[in-house]
Amino acid sequence: MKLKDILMSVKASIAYLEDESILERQYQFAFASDLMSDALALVREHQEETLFITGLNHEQTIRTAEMLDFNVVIFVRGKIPSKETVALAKANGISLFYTEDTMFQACGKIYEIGVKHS
Amino acid sequence: MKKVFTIEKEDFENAGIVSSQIKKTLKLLGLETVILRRVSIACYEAEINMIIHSNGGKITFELDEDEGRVILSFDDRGPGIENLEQAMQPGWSTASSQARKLGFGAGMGLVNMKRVADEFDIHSSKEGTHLRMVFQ
Repeated sequence: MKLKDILMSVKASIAYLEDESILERQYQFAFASDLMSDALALVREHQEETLFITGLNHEQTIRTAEMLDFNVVIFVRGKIPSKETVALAKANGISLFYTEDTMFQACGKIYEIGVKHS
Repeated sequence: MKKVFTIEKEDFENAGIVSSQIKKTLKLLGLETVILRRVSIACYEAEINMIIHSNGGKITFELDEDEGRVILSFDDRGPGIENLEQAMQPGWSTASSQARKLGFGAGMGLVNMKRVADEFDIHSSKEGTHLRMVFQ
């Protein structure tokens, strides 16, 4: 599934786009959690093709993404990442998006269009 | 190559910086992605643990280029893990509300470190916790 289609399904806005070409890139998997430890413990493969969906709007979200080699984070519940979070994402080449959907709504829509659990 | 980093108690602002530096160093040296990710995950979990739970301490990063091994050591100044057996159980956590705000305190840290490391040794007393992990 192309990232641009996934983002359209949840009407996501761009907070930071590392590179336009990422919108055309395929993402097959997603992992959703507000707990960073869960992401660190449970995502075991396909990291580069995995979207990270979270409601935790904090720099540690970016650190977690960095450690796991995620390059896309989607914030739910309309959480616009702070300047500090965007700066850290930029330093690590991680694109950030946000949607007004709740975690449940976002996961449901993204699952429905064919993205699978990582 | 050997580097030592100092960690201050409850320095949430800088949480993850050491792990990020270690990851970037190893990436530049061309370490294989799968090992690099395992080292990064364990280092970050342990760094966060040291910030959340300890009175501060040191992280030592060693790269044994001949053997192709990475060794991470975490030595803090206490107060120690009261019940190590319990701490090793998934879901067990004594993290503060501040730590939970950062997304930590799921009780998966030590379990996860043990899973990704090839060698995992931990000793704890009131004087300090000493954790050593080897990756190859």
